[in-house]
Amino acid sequence: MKLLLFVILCISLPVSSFCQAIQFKSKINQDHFIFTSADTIEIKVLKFYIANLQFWRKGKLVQTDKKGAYLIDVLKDATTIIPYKKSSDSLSFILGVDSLIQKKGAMGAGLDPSNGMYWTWQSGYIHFKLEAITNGARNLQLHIGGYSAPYNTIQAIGFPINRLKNNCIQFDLLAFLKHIDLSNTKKIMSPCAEAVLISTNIAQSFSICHD
Amino acid sequence: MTKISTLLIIAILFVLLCSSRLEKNLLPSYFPKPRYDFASNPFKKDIITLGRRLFYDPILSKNNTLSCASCHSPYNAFAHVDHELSHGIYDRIGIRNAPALFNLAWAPYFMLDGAIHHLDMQALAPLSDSNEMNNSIEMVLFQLNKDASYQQQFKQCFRDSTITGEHFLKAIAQFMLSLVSAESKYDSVMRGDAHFTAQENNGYQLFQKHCNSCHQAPLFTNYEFINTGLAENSAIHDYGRFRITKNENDSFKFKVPSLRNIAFTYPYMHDGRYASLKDVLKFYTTIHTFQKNTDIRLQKPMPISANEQVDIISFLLCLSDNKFIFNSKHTYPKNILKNQ
Repeated sequence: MKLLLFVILCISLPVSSFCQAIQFKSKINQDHFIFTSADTIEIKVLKFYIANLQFWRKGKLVQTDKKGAYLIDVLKDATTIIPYKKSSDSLSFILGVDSLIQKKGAMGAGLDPSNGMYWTWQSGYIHFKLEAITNGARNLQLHIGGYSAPYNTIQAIGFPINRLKNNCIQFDLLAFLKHIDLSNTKKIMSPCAEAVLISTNIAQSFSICHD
Repeated sequence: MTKISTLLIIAILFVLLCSSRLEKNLLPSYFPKPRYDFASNPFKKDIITLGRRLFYDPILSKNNTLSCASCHSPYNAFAHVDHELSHGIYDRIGIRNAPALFNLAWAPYFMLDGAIHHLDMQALAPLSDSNEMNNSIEMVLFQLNKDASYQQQFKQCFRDSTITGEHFLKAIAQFMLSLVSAESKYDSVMRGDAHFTAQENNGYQLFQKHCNSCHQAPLFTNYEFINTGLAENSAIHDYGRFRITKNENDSFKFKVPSLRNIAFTYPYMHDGRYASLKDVLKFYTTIHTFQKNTDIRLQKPMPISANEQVDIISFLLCLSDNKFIFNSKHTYPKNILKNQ
């Protein structure tokens, strides 16, 4: 069977003179795809948090996004636009929700616990949630969270911005899934050492491209 | 224009004054500073009323049979009297004795293992637990948003057209925050309005010597997690704090509970294994199982004689707050829920 490359465009940075804004875009082409001769996957849920977005110039912080955390729901075609200073040469963000926000109590919008991204048996946001059926029958349930040692799954991610081109930050689901054995049922539902490892795999699956 | 803005400022100041007065009335002055950040969820009479309605409404459980009050009864200081372990939906039995609810603004975390780190988020746990309400916040919000009366009440409180998870949780939190117990005989004595009897006073001295390092006044807990050396309940296999930290040293550690209203909240210990205070004192004063992480203060049985134990119990009865137990502001809101 054919290998289908699957990339989610989650953030694009248009830098033309009339548009200084960062866009969070989630896009999914199809929810069922085949990527090796043996494995298939049908995505049911794919959501994650991006937070603490900061823009830098020559190593100095020039802008901090005040909203804090954004919930990216890949199966919903939604776009969030955040203005930023055109002079920025790099940006950084975290995958997850930082410990300060975690301890604040009930919050609304993307952080409302009714988004299905909050654990109920133990306080804390689920930073990354992937639920899928693999190979027609196996359940894949990754609820990656935990914000304090020793199982801190918050990952810092940063990229340079090319000011002459459009910048796209991508999350490559295919690259990430190479770390997961899809032939077996897989469930991670609490902070643990494996969740920390998986969070590094998720972070490594982000990349930047310019066009 | 100036007139309007002046009026507006006066109105805002008035609202702020009212809400801070409400807080002052509820929070005793000789208590430490509350940990709850009231700025993020300022007390408002309407919101407390809404939270009270939600607390007593079985709409929170999956099949409409259980409310928070099913296991947290006002007449037992919001504990579940006579139940070692509470039964939830379809009579399913959980693993722990339901804790009493009061003075929650001072608590740094919730549940006997500290699983919940903020009072706002506490309601999510029993709501979702399959042994308790077996529901989800998404479903509760769906039900509430279908109910015109709730819609109106939420709109009045929060000015939102759709009931959100944030406001649902904040309303329940406000009702729980309003459950302040500080009117026991102990409190009267501390304020100089009453005196202990000789027996109570002796019990108080013994309490300070043997118990106060964990059950610290005025809240009668230091919120530590400790292993008291209680033998493992083989029917439950509850490892306490270990479930949260996965640190072996936290095995069998549970949060020190407050001893306020202790006479109302039997049975005792995390699994409700002791029916009376006498049994609890017997445990602390006789040889029992010691694990390697049993608290240093409990390595040896406490040297307290049988007569002294009676005196300690007479002091513990001074922690009963009858005004709290019978406070009509905390009980079932008949006028709102009777028609449901």
